[in-house]
Amino acid sequence: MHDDAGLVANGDFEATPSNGFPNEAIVEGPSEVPNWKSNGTVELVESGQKQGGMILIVPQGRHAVRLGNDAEISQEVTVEKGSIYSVTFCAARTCAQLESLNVSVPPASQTIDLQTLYNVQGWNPYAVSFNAEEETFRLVFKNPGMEDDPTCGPIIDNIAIKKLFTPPTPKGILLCKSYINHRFSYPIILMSALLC
Amino acid sequence: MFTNTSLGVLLPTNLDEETSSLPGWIVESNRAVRYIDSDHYSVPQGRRAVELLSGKEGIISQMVQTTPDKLYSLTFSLGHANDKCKEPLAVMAFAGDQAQNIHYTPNSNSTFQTANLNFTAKAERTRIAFYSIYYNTRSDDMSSLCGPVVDDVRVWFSNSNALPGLSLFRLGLALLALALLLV
Repeated sequence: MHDDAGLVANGDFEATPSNGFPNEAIVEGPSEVPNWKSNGTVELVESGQKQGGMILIVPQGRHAVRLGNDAEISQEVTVEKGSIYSVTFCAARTCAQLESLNVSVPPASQTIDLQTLYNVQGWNPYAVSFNAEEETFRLVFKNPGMEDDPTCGPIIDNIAIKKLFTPPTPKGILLCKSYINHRFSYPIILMSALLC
Repeated sequence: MFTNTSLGVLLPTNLDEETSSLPGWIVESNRAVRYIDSDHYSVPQGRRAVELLSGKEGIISQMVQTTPDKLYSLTFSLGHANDKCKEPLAVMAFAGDQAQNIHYTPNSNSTFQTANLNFTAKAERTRIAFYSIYYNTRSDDMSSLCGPVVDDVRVWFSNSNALPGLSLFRLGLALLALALLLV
């Protein structure tokens, strides 16, 4: 589990939908994935589930979600205005030729290329960041692809967000060092030490 | 960071310094770099570090405030993540107009070494950057991408970059500063 799983509800997609988990069925329309608003071909996949000869990868737990052509899921998240948040999630590619995933907090958005396999597990944890311009933001995951098979698309799991701590600029330290190097008088050194 | 996975976290391309998962740094390449933690990897210092992957296709950089014509020293730790990554490991380090490739030398006592690169600032902002020289893969599966670890990156104001015992000098400087603080 995540350190800060609390901010995103059902980020691991393990919550049971009101009508139960679909077994190899495609879920369409809104509120089929608990706590998420979905649009397009959004499918809850189960660990061990096959599509053709391919076993679908579930990065964590028993369930994950797959985004088909142009499909998206989104959730409203309460955040601290003015802070920077890191969004972490796991993603795996499936059957499409060029798979990518667009993660956005409108208007900011970032497309992540899922083409490169960085390891043999077949999925990877990623982190992207967004600035909280309001008290809440809409976190959107979208598959921008258009494949012949509309169900081909990335599998995502384990979505969480966490507020980032941004270290102060180290400018002051350099200034202090230069003050000491130049053998300025004590008061200035002390003052610069206070500024550090 | 994921507490129960040993895969690290990939940081994809991000050109916006203001909004970065790795505050202060940008990932300016098309490919990602891996943010690793000490629970699952060897990191030179503290709890986290960056593992550079896929050669020139994984670059992290930062703009550092400098004073033109002053001498600076870029120091950093270069290490092995202890993830069965097949050697050789090496990085290309950039600071202003200087560039240097530094090979990691395996040492039984440590998983990292420190390296430094001296440069003269040409402007008020100087770019420092790192990428891996080789395309490394793990020796157990021969396909997972891995690479050298970079940590503890510092840019020091230096007016004696020809001094051989630079680190000793720096230690002395730190002690001097401490002594002055205590006065």
